[in-house]
Amino acid sequence: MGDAPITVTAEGLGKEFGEKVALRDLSLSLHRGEIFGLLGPNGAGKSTTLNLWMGFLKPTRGRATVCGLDCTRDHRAVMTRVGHLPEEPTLFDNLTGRELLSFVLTMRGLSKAERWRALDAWAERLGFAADLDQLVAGYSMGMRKKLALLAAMAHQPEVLLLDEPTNGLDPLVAREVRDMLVEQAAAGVTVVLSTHLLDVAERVCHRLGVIVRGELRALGDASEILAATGSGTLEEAFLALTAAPRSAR
Amino acid sequence: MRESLAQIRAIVAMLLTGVMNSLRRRQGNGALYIFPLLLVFLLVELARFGSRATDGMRAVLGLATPAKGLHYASLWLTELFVAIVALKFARIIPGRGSRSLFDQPLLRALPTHPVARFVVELGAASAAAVGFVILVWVPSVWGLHASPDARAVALTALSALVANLAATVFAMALYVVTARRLGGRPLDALRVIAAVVGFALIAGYSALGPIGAGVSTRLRVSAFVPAWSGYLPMRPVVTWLRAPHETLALGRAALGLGLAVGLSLWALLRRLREPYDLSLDAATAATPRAAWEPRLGAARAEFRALVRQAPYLPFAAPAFLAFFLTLSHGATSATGADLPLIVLMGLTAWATVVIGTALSGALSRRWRRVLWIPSVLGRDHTDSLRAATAVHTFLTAGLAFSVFALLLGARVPEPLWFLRMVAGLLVCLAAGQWLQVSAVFLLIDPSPDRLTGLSVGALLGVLATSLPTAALMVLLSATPLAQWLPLVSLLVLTAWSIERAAVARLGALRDPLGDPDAALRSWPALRTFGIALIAQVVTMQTGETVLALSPSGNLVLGYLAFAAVALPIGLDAARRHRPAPRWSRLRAVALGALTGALNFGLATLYAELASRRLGGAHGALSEALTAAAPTTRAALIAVAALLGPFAEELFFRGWLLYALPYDLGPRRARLAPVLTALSFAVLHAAEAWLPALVAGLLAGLLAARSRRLDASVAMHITNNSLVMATALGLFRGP
Repeated sequence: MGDAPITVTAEGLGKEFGEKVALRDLSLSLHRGEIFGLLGPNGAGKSTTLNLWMGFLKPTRGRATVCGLDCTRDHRAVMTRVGHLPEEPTLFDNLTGRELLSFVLTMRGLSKAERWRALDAWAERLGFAADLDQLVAGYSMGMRKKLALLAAMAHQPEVLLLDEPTNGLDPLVAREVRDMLVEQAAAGVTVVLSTHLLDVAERVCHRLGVIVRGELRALGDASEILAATGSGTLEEAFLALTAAPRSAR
Repeated sequence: MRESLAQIRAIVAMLLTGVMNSLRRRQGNGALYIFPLLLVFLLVELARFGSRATDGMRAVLGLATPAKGLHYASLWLTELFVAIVALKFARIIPGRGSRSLFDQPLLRALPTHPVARFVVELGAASAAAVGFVILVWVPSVWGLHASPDARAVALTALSALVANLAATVFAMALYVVTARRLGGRPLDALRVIAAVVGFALIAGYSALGPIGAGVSTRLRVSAFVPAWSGYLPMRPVVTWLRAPHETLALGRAALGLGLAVGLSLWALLRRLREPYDLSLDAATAATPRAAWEPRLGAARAEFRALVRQAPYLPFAAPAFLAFFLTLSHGATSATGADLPLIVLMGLTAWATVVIGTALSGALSRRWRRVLWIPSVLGRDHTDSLRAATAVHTFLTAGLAFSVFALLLGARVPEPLWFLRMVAGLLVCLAAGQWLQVSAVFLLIDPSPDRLTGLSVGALLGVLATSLPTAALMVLLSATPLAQWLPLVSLLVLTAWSIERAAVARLGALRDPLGDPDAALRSWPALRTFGIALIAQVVTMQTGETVLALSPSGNLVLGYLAFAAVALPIGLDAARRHRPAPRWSRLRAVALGALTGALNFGLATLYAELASRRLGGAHGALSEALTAAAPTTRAALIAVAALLGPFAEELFFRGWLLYALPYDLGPRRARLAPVLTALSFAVLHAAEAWLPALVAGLLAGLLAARSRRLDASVAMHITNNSLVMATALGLFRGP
């Protein structure tokens, strides 16, 4: 992984909301084809980090880049290279899944026929093809998530930023999603996923970062994190890191 | 360019597809239907006036026939629907989630071209505004058609447009500043621009009002055009436009307007340098300095919190004053009325607004759940609260001035008329504010998007406030008191029901300040009592003056009105307070009936002693019963002997008796039966308050001892039945 070009970076990245520090001095670089897992308890700053990379938030200090582009300054260019799955996929309820994906393709200026082949195949894998012609209003949480995932991948992005991608999915589909992510990574896509599901992180991610109260407390692959914390399982390591005071890196 | 065009096309197509899809399945925001309902009522009122109103009303509205009234009414209703549809199409009326288009995570993650975004935002806001323009256009043209002096009408419209634009820009400046203070993202600026344009168009719409009003004798038709249209320094401008040599008038107007805007801006800038305190618990956090002045300290803290909530309220005072002075000059020249009188009227209107706003703010802390709904949302929704307060305050002030303008538009015939105006103003301000705030939070999902949401809220607020106000003003200025009472009652009841609906909706939200028993407290109970009482009195007024019912028919109507308001809520409350009974049902009913008979004896004795004959009420009842048709008589007996007692007991002994101890505290809880009896006596004050007080005490005692409602219901029914029997002459000797 070390030789692959760097696609996503954070350089001393920090974000404050008023007096609340959501993210503090985050520095890391992610490579092409890497699956990176952001772990942390609720409210730790995972979504904030993703939103900074998406350019939805403006960093208070530091800089976030994607494919060499500044996420805030070159917001639109970044949007063409990134696929994003928000934590709560709010979609247009009055459209069908197919209409929504068509809209996404048009907005991105892509040729529909070509992309639809891939989208249909993915929908089939997610067991979702039959529901594509239903109104989104009738979708369950899991179906919304699947549709949002398809929308995020519709333009073959170079980077995928996924907020809790397997939440609300049944185990079968969750595994299918994990497999798809691994395939995407193998094809050279950088995947960042924020999650609090440790087994997902352990099974899929090449590297993990544990964020607690806006601070990156551990970074490395699973074995490195286990070694650093002296824990036997990732769960123990996670608990040790989230409970420990700031200096416990 | 081509890219942005394609994106605009895609977004529009997507929205249209969504609309088409949504038309195929049923959807809608139930709350919206309240407004048409309110309108329908107003329209019925109008039609009624067409046929039954006084000559004054006919002359004012030119609605000589019901057909014409209905014609006007249906036009308006249609336009309202058009406006709502426009808002929906523009997706400005929020559906589920209530996010603006570009706040949708999906759209945010797309590389939307800024030009495309701007065009779509602008289009959405404009579509909404156009809807509102249409709302007034048809009646306006109708008015224009009837106007004798087209040139003057056009000039009036033009000048009103300019002034309204200025006012709108100022309002939007406040709005933008508030939004920014609330932490709006830079992207919000775009939406604000779109909203400004939208507002400007709405200002145009209000400028069309004077077309409807014209300068013809039908001036008051403009009252049906929302309140903004009355904007003020118009008269001098019009005077100048019609007679350009009178430059002095224009100079005065310009000076006043300039002064007002300047002062407002100065106040705004000054305010900007000082930090806002946007935390909801500002008042609770501010502790009094000395222990001996907790009440004073709390009041001061509340006032400070109020100032922080609506920071420009005190600062805007000089601006409003300048507005007002300009007006007074114009008004003096236009109406020929005395300047002091006009000054007095204006100051009263202004003070009403300031005091009303301050009061509603202060009351809100006590009636968190009731009057000022946003407080209930807690800290998470602080921003919504602030923005709503800002918008709300501004609108209220605008409303007062437009009302004031209407006051000026008419000559002042007599002092009593003026007092009625002030009273009417108070009523409609209260009803309007209530409606407005409830509407904002009923229609808007209190979650994420505040700017768009509040724009809609503000617009609907304008509608909600101006409609009743306008109607009231017309009624006030042209008809006797009795004619407008039904309308006021309806407004109060509608406001109340809307508020209930809003509260019910908020019940589902997280409520950090909440008190699970709040609905059971005595304030809601007393409020319900007050409203039920108003409903009864007003209904009977209507029955007598408008429907010309017989006294007994009218009594039935009054009872029904009271029961209609008190029963549903009383039943719910009584169901929730169901203590373990101490007596068996048989014992409760038997003792209750016995006490009822005893009470009747006492009351009769009292009446004998008091006047050596049956009490006035009984005498009147007797006459009413004898004169009534058989069916009415039966209805009256059923209602007075059965329904009335049941509703009243449910309310007083089922609810209030148990709600009061919550607020009285454990030490004073035993006062509850006495206070309940007192309020019961108030209800029956028209008949004889002392026997009612005794009856209330007895019933309270029975209910408290037995812990059964059956006892007091039995007592009440027995007593009332005996009263009815006496009135029918069953006990009369040979």
